[in-house]
Amino acid sequence: MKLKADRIFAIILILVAIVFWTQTKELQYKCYIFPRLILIMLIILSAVMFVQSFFKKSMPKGKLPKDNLKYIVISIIIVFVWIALINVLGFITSGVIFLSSLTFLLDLQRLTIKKVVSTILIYILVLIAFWIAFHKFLLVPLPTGHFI
Amino acid sequence: MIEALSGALHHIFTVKIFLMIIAGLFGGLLTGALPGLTATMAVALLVPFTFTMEPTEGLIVLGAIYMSSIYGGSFSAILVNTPGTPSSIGTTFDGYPMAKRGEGDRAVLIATFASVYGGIIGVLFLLFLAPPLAKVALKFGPPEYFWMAVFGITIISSLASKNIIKGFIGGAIGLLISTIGIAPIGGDVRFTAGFSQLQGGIELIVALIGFFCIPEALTMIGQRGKKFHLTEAKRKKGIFLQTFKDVMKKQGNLLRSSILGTIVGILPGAGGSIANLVAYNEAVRVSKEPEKFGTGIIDGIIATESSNNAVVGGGMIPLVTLGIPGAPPDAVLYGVLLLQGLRPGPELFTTHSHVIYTFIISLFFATIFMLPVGVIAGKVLHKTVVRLPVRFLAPLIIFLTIIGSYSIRNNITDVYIMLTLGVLGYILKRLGFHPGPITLGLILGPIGEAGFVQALLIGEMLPNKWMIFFKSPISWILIILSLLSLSWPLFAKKLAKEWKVKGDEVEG
Repeated sequence: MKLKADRIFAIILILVAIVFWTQTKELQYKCYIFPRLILIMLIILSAVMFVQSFFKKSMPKGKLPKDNLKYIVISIIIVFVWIALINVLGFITSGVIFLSSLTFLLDLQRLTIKKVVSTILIYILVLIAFWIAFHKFLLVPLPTGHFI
Repeated sequence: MIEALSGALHHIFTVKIFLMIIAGLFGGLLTGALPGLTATMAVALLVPFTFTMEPTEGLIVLGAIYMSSIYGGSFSAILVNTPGTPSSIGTTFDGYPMAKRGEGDRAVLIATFASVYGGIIGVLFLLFLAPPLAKVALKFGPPEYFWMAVFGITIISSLASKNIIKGFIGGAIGLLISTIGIAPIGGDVRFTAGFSQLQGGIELIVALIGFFCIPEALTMIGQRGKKFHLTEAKRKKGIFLQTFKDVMKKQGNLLRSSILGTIVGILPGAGGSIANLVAYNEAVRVSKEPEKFGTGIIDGIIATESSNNAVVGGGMIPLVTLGIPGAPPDAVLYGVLLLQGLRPGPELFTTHSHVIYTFIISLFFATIFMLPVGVIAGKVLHKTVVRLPVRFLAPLIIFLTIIGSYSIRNNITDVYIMLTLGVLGYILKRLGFHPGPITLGLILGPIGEAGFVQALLIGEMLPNKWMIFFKSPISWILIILSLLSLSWPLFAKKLAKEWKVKGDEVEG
């Protein structure tokens, strides 16, 4: 399985390197020489990995614990939406909504109203404390939106 | 040097600086004790909070965070058998068996004393070895900097990954990402795919946060069922003094492990995660009772904890002399130095000597303060911190990465770049590529490119321009070092075999 992934990834890398190479055509010598050197290196190394994948023995199963991809994909989508809305909803409002959503997503037990309320309250307090400490005292720039 | 040192002492002896060091130590302990948060992540996540500080103050706080996060990793290693940072992997071997016997308190104290000892040795090496090395580094021209970058790449690629080819591919990916944006020489815009936001290149810290923090958070999310259990320690009277005496009796182990840690730290790319295992291996090899290792003995904890904290000082030696990070957290410090307008390299000792000496001396004090902070706060911290469930921990890490990448340039595009690189880092991690080589490629790319192109331009005067790379003796030394580091995996394999044999003996 892992070796098959290596093979596919090696092909992807070679294709990416070729695309990058075509982008260097209109550059001056002193601007393309170094990237081309890296691209040659990347193509050779990827080719070696491709060939290696046919000869190497497969890794024993279960060495890397399997991740639950469903949760990872949902989390990534939540975070992308969070970033898109952070400048609209504001730092604290968006933070409470999306941090709570992630926490609910990762909760192993059934959600109860008490749990939902307490999680939201915890995040409101944490984010307000964070906002006061870092934005007000340490003057760290934080995203702003229509709300706080 | 003496003048700069006295100036540094004068700068440090203020209540404000001491409070900053203590705050940094708390921050580092907190993040270090959290399983999944490495020292690199601790430094990367807390960088934005130092932006409004003076450059020196920001560095002082980050130095304290780095030092104590490495030490903080021992808490979870000992108490929950989960290393808080990869630098404490070896601490679980003997720390956890001790905790299981109800000697968790004693094991934590041993880790504290050993960490302080190792930290001091590393800082002393940094203080006395860095200035002469910086003088040598000042003789470096473009070809030498190019070879230095090559040397850096060869070392990390062979050390940070079990698969050498994958290590090098990771390095090449990092190098390629570093070429995005305006070329350092020539000024053409490269590989931006039409996005004007990418013209300035990818901000180093943004990339580091993405590559180091997001994959860890996603792994936590992917393994959300994992739970941690804490072992309660029994409190005994007089344990502090007795443990101190017990640790100090092991001078041979302390010194050997600290020096090993410093040397591993100096090697670019190799950090505490390697140092603690090398020191543990050596402790087993030298011991008259190797069979006792792994059953919960003091020597095991001393070896790992003194060596990983010695890495802090050691790793900064190449950073401040050559501008090459010795260990992954130094890569973040590299970015911070650049952000603060300080170019990492030998000039630090000439044009900014007051900043660098203040930083080194502050690191010394941070190590000393780690003793009271660790003893007093550690006990409270580990109980609350180690128990933080993943459902809160993973979202909070993501939250900190978003804030961290946003506040660098007050720019939401950086957050998108960070997350995209983070997801890429996760996929690469699953495919067996580690973030270490990629980030080193990112750092060494601009150094290597500037050296390479400038050298070629200078070489135009020679009959064969490529000969410029082989003209100076320093270039040849670096070429030989690069070849040696390339052959390192062969030695490492032999060592690993030996280590496996010892490990089997211990387990048996």
